[in-house]
Amino acid sequence: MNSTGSRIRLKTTLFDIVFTLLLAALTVYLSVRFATRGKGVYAQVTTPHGNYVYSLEQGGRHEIQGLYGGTTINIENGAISIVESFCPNKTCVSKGAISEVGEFNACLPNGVSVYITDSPSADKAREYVSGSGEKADAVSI
Amino acid sequence: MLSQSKRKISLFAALCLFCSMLELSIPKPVFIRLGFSNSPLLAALYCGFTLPEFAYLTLLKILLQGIINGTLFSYAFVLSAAGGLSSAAAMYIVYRAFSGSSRGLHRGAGQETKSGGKRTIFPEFSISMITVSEVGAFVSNTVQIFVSRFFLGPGVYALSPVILGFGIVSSFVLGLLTQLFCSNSEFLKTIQEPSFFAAFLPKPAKPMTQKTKTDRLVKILVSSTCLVTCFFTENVTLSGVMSFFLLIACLSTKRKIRVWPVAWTIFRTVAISLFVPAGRVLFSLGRLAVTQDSIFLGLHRSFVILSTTFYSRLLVPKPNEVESAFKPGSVMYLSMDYFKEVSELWYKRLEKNIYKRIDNTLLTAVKRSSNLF
Repeated sequence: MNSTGSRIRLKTTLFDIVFTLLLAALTVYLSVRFATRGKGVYAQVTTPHGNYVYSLEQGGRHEIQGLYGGTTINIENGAISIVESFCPNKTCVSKGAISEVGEFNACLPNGVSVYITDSPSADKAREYVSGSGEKADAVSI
Repeated sequence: MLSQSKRKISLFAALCLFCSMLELSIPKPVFIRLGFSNSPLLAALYCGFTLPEFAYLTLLKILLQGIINGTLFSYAFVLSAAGGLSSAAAMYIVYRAFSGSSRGLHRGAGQETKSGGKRTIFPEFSISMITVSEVGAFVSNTVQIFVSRFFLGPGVYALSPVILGFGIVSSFVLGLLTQLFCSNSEFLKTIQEPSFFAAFLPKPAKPMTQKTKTDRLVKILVSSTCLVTCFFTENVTLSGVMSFFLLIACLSTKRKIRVWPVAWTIFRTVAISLFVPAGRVLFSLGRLAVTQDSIFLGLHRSFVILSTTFYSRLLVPKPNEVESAFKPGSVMYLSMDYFKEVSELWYKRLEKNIYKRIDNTLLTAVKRSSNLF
């Protein structure tokens, strides 16, 4: 037994209720902060063979098959760039890295397009393709 | 001979295991955890455990649960340790900061307080077990969310509202139930008698069984190779095969592996991985794009998690061999002995009132071990 004789109460007090409410408020706040932590910026890659999505927070190098060959994309430091492609003039490669929502890059000869969106859903990419998206940069040729 | 303090800690560690056993016997979805094993920690604070005693009890509880559940070398143990240590620290700090007021203390035995909150930071306020329980659950869940990010990926943050919200509710209920139990428990009144632990002597220890060292060494080498391969490969097929080998090894040594927790682990880990999309889009569910690489990554993570669980089950002694694995007379041996006594008595009692059944079980168990009766 503790020599100080101190003990926890066995009856609930007003202070308990206030503390519980404060803790509940903190829980709601942290929950919202945690849940929106995953909200980020995504690269939507459209090809004739299907769509791809990558979070710009996860670095990596990926080869995407286009109409005639592979197009290699690289995600690093929250930005995406086309580093290699099948096309002869490599305009898509020279554009460099893009990272802001609404930015766009494409290798048109190979049919590979890259859009930056704030949603992982493929619908956002389709909006840009159809021209109904909020921001649509001019296509690189 | 163990000191009175260590005998007290062994008893409460056994109570933690007993409460853990009670929780397992309650039918509930596999993903719901009520935290019954924290109830003896609250009772320990009520009984006035000092900081070293409380810390020792917490460590013992985490270690013994890892051994009993067979998760000692798995990710589940890491999560349990992180959550358990942080919540115990938070509960003790809150208890020390707020309890001990001379006004409104519950003196069930009618005794005067000696210090009137000498070491209390906020002597004007006093709190109940509900608040201590909620603080412990909140801190534990928050720490576990951060730690599980390393096993399950950043997608785990999306589950935090459910985890934290449920934690507040379950900890409120746990604190309330523990409060009700402590108010009326004959068992707690008995063990709080000043001379109780002086007479609470451990029974003579049983001799340890001899084990074959060679086959254990082979088992460790082979299973460690599978585990390491699983960890360092990026190939989901290979990690699946290694995990399967470890499962077969567990089943061949007659370890029980339940299907639902395995299935739930795979489902949960893959689902969490989907929150960070990567690769070819297979289909969309609203805003969520279900992508091929996310599924493979989720499967790989689940195989790594399962392989640590199977590895742990393989190496940790079976429940009926655990006691003989400890040195007779040690704190861990004593805890397992008390736990065995309490759990055997539990199944013999027939009271319909659950509180009475728990209280009478514990009281009978300590009477059997005490020279006072």
